[in-house]
Amino acid sequence: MMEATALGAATARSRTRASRRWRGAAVGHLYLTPAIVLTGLFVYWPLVASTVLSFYDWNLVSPTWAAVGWQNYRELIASRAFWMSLVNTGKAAAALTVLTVGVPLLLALAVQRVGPRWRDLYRVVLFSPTVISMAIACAVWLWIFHPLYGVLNTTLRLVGLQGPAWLSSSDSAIWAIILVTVWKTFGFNFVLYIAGLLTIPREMYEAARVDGASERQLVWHVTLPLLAPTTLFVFLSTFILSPQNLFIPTQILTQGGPNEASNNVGYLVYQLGFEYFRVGYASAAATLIFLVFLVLTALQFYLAERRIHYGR
Amino acid sequence: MGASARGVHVLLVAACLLVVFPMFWMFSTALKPPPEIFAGTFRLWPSAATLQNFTTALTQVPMLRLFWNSLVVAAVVTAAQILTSALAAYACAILRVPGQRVWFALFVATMMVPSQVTMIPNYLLIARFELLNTYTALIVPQVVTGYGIFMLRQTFKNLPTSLVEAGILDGASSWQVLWRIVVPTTRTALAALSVLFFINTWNQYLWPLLVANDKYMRTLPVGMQEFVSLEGGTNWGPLMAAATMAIVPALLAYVVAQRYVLESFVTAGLKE
Repeated sequence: MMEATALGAATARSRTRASRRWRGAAVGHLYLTPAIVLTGLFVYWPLVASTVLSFYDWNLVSPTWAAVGWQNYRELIASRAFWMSLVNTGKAAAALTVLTVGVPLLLALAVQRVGPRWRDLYRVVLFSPTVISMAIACAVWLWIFHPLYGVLNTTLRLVGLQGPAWLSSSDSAIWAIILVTVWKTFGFNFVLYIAGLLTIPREMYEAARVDGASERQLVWHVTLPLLAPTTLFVFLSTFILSPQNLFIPTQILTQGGPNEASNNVGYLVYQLGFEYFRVGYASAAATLIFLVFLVLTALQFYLAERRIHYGR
Repeated sequence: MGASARGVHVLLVAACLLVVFPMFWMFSTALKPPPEIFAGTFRLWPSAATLQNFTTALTQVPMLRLFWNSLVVAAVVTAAQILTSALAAYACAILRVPGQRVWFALFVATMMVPSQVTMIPNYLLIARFELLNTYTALIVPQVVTGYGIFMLRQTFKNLPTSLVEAGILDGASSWQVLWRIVVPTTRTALAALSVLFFINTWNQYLWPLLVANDKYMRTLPVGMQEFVSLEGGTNWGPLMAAATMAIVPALLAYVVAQRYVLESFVTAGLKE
């Protein structure tokens, strides 16, 4: 008996050793190679190249580059366009985050209260903008916002109101972009909330009901607290993605105008590089934006880590 | 049905109408003859529906070719992203490679880099190798994704250890363990991630806009913008017809596979 156990332990040990040797084999690097080469070439090298380019003046076609030192950065920091786009990006990101965290939550709570067949129907419809192309959707919204023939203003005219030129007025342009972005992206968060709601055990509600909790109290004291991890995930992903999500509506609906009123940092880089052909200047903007983004993301993760612990 | 249940339905129906209206309006405009489009008065449905916008759209833009381009790019990018992600995730989750934590961190960190930051050097690289307006340009720079590596590493880590151990005892090589054990057992997660990648690539705009300006090499979302003119001379009828032709197949595919698509977004989008 003793022998058998000792033998068993010995086999187990040699198995572990074999397994460890197998797992640690030199070929492991080969599996990483494609990802290393590709991220190196298309993400990390561009980051370096962008920083290098930011110290040059180059127009995309000229055979000569001129080294200009910190000139691009100085010009950028002194430019109104840069600050306007930075402020607008912050404003739009805040609005987008509030709306695409709040609206889908409300709708998911509502959907939870209807029968399963209705729930499926609402879910399919409300999610549908998420699967279509943002660029094509924006072309449709461009038509909806048309100052003369667009359905928004023709409807307003029906009730005797004169709608503004939504996309070329500095008050409304950025809100049009925000509206379209919310329309296009809220469905994803909505579905995440529904999935989150399904993970809340029924017994929690039953226990609270036995204790005499009202429907409203159930939402405040059971649903929302237990949904907190989903909400945090939705919040972080929405905020991080919002500068990216703003690009297409800006490019198609307003081109950042009028007078930078609806510009944002991602579009500014595109504009400087591919419309004004100031590659070095655009790269300086890209580099600064990357730094701002990095700090904000790091800060967010730091805050999130402190609030909630993921992991198993 | 109680009063509050009715209120809930009213809220949800209103939300659905707001969501669907732009798509309805696109279709309705596509069917209107020019005088109705430019009437400047509200009309929900054309009084004399016509298909002329569709014929104009088809003669101005090679729609079938655009479809094909989008399909090729989305399919190849999806397959390649899954492959590179699975390989890297396997090395990070199951094998023991020196420095794997550092590599993994570097892969995941790419998620924090907005595409606008890398687009200029990437464009210059593609232009330098004279690859503008090729499938290579549309596909190759996107065949790796930090998100995919991150998601699949989580998935692979959750596999029971005994599964891989059994393979090792049978004398399987790491390559065989990957393809005969790891991939088959995680196929649901891989499929969900593929749906997500396919939809993302299909809808993508910025990168194809930069590298494919040839009429025949554009993808659908880019080719569509041909009708949009900044000078105000936009051809609204054909634009809406083209948008309808581009969106309707995607929506149909979504409605048919809705349960699956929704589940994919949830499983691939929300990590445990």
